[in-house]
Amino acid sequence: MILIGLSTFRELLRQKLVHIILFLAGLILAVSFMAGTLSLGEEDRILFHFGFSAVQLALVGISLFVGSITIPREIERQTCLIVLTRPIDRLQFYLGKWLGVAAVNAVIVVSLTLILWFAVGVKDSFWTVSKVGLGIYFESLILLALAFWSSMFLRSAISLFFSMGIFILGHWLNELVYFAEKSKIEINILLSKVIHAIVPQLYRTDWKSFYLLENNLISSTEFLTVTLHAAGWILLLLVLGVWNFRRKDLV
Amino acid sequence: MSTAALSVQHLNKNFSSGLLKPPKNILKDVSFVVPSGSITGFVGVNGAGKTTTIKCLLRFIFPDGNADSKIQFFGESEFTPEVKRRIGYLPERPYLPEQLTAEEFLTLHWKLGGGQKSQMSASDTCLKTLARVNLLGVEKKYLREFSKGMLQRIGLAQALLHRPDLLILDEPMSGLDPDGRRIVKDILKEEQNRGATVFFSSHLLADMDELCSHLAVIDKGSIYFSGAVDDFTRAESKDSVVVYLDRDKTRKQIQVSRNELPAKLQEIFSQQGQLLKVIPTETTIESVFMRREWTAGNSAGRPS
Ligand SMILES: Nc1ncnc2c1ncn2[C@@H]1O[C@H](COP(=O)(O)OP(=O)(O)OP(=O)(O)O)[C@@H](O)[C@H]1O
Ligand SMILES: [Mg+2]
Repeated sequence: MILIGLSTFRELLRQKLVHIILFLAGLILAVSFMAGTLSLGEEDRILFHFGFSAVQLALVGISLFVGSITIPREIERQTCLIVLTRPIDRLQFYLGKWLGVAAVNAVIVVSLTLILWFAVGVKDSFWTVSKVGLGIYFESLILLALAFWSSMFLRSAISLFFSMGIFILGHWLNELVYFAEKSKIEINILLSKVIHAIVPQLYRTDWKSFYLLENNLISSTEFLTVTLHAAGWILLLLVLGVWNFRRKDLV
Repeated sequence: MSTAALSVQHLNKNFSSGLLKPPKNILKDVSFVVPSGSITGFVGVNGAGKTTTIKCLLRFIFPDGNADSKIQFFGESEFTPEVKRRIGYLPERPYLPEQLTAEEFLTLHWKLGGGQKSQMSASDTCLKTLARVNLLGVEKKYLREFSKGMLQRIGLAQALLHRPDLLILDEPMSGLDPDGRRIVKDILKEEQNRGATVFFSSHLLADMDELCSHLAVIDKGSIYFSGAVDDFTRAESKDSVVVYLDRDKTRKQIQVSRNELPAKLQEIFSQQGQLLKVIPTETTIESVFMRREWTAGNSAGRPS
């Protein structure tokens, strides 16, 4: 499993798609540095907001785009077949692939968070800053597991859109509930609550605005809840994905 | 030689082609045996079901679960990691991970197969295997830069890597130049001499003649013949063509069945005829094949 993960990691770092996404993220990062110097007084906040947006873009992009094609491509090109003739379980293969992509994301988030931390002059504790990065990382892991799972039974392109839809929905959830309650229509409220319950609450992983508004105010309870929430979703989606993959005809 | 390296019994597979369409019956009661130490050829026209069968064997595709169907490797029904370790497989179209170099690819598979536990070093084994398929000098090259034939060769190298007891090769010669085919044939023979069993599919019947001791012939998803090559050619070969000059030096050509051949030759000699040649028409696998009307895909045209 580790071997497959490492090999996937290595392959990904050589892939054009990943390069493009990283390039885009780098571009935004550069822009955020420029924007930071332009706005006097607000430098750090601007830098943070844009900077972490760049991190988020990179991670979400990789999770959705790479996640939805990793396994289908292995199946289509039959590259998975020779791996699976080795004494390797399908479970190990699936998780190994997932870990490989997750590792790429981890490298990106750690390095960019470090850059941002240094850029603001090591003012806040690293832990405070890295919570924002962690939130983004959790989100990317959920989306990655989602894209992996949905690509088991949807075509890559549709799986991509499906996961994207969930991504957007996940960020709108609280607004959805808010507006439904405002409308005061029973059925709307009920519906929004149901959706709120069954879609990963991605908006809660988004701490960059939190940081921006109320410096340092991510409470440990909130952090813990979100961590558990994310872990639950990741586990569920991985289990579903493995379950599907083990039953799949690899034609 | 006692237990077969591979025995397949009553394998069935339906593919559902769409929600409303009826499922397509791809494999129908496929049964055959690959004796230990043999080179067994798996023959059939395009779409006969060779690849599907092989994928069922290796549990890439799940056959329909009827009670009496059974796939046994080395006499074992369970497809355990230990069984897997004894098998080398080359898929039909070996697209390999493009972003790896040949050496990285082989090293990965060496490790995946548990190579670290053995005495040999990874790089040693990889280089030796590359040398066998005549691919030395490209270890550091990315697989995306490989030609089709080169991919085929490195795919084969990957299958040979762990000195498996059973090689399952789906069209190992396709895409290879004559030299490459020669190499593959030699390797298959070497592997047999080493004690391994080889099961491979191919369209190139001439190659089968040279290599195989046993055959499994599949047509439209059912096994048409399974057994020793000699039995196949003998069962199918009925006539020989005898060409001779009779007493008046006129050239004659007749078809004679196997049983009548000695008597007919006697007759020619006794009438002072001059024998030009006896052509045993149906003794190669290919010629037996040429006599039948095989149809690609699904349609009538073959006795069942
Ligand atoms: N995923 C699938 N869904 C439906 N039918 C399929 C599928 N894959 C293969 N088939 C059908 O199964 C049959 C057997 O295919 P298979 O690939 O096993 O043939 P083959 O003997 O390997 O042919 P070839 O010599 O061309 O490689 C074909 O008629 C094909 O149309
Ligand atoms: Mg085939």
